[in-house]
Amino acid sequence: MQLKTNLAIVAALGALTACASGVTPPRQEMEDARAAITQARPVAVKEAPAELINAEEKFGQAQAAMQAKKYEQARSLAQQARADAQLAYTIAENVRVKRQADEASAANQTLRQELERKGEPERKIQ
Amino acid sequence: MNFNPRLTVIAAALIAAGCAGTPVSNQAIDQARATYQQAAADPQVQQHAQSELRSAAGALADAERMAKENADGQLVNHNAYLAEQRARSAMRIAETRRNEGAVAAATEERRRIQIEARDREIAAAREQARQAEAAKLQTEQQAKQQVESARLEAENRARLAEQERLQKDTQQSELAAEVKRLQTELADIQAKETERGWVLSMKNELLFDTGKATLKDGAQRALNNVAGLLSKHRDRSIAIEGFTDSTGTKELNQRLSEQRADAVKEALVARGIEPKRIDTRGYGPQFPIASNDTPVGRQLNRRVEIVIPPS
Repeated sequence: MQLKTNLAIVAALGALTACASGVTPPRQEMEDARAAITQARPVAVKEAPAELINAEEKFGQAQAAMQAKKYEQARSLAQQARADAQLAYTIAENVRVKRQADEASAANQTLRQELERKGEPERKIQ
Repeated sequence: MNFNPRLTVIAAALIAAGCAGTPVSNQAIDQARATYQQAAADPQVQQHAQSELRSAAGALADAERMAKENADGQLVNHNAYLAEQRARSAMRIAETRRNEGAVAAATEERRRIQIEARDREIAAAREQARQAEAAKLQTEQQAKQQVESARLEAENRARLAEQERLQKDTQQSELAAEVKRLQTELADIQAKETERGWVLSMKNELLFDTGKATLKDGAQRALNNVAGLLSKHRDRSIAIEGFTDSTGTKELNQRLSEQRADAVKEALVARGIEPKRIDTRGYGPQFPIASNDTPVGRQLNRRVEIVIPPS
């Protein structure tokens, strides 16, 4: 009798663990992850490839988990894929804008130098 | 391109999780908390990445709560991971906003530089115009000055010419006056003003013995006076011309008239007149001033003339 109760408790506990299948398929999480990757891919493929690969791999794993009806696992993986994709996107955007800032700054320097150079002959006029 | 080492800690914890219970990785939560605090400390994250930061905070709170409730390590690590990634995203967004600000500032700077360049060009153009104007003014003034000094010079020249003319007129009048005085003093000298200048005519009888070319004593006074007149007008040159009547041969008369002219020149030179001022010519019976048919006329033709040309 003791053993059956223990087994029941363990089984109940087992049911509560994360490894047990979730009730509903995480369709929203999968959609969010897919959208985030789609947004990130055009800019991140060049500027943040590692993070992008991360996201896409995780999403692939999430899809596999969906197939296997391991919904909790799929949900977690989808959430992580989404976070990875968002990070890839922000990294790539930052690189893009920083490049703009650097180019603008360099252009200004050149412009300033040219202005100073042009100014030289003026001072020689007596 | 290099993998974040922090990720591998958390990812390894996740991958290692099977369906069995996973130990809670304090390291994963500590890592996520540290990253989150770094993000939260940045005021620009608060300003521009609020929702990302909140989302990270939520995941971190979940992870901590689950750790306290002894939930499965995989779940804890999963939330720690989400917190970590979201915090990093938030910080990256803030960084992007800062760079966007830098781009805007650079655009403004560029505009300022262009305006300054234009201002300098304008100033340079104005300066050039001013200098050109000043140079033009200077040239005009110089031209005016030149005109003025040319005018003054012309005035001076005119005045000097007038003075010279007056002086010559005065000299001419003085000479005329003296000649007239001479004439009144010595009735023997005839003076006439002709287009050749003053012509003093003296009869041969006054100066010479008949047929001779030597001067008589009586000629001295007349010659003194002529010399005196000439010495007062040192700039004048004169011509002494001898004439005879038509009696006798032309050759004889020619020679005689030349010799008489020379004799008069000698006498004037002896009285201090420079020889180079004196030209002598003999014309013989040429250029009679009266008819040679009458004795009076012949006497008149026998003469010596001293010509004083105008200066």
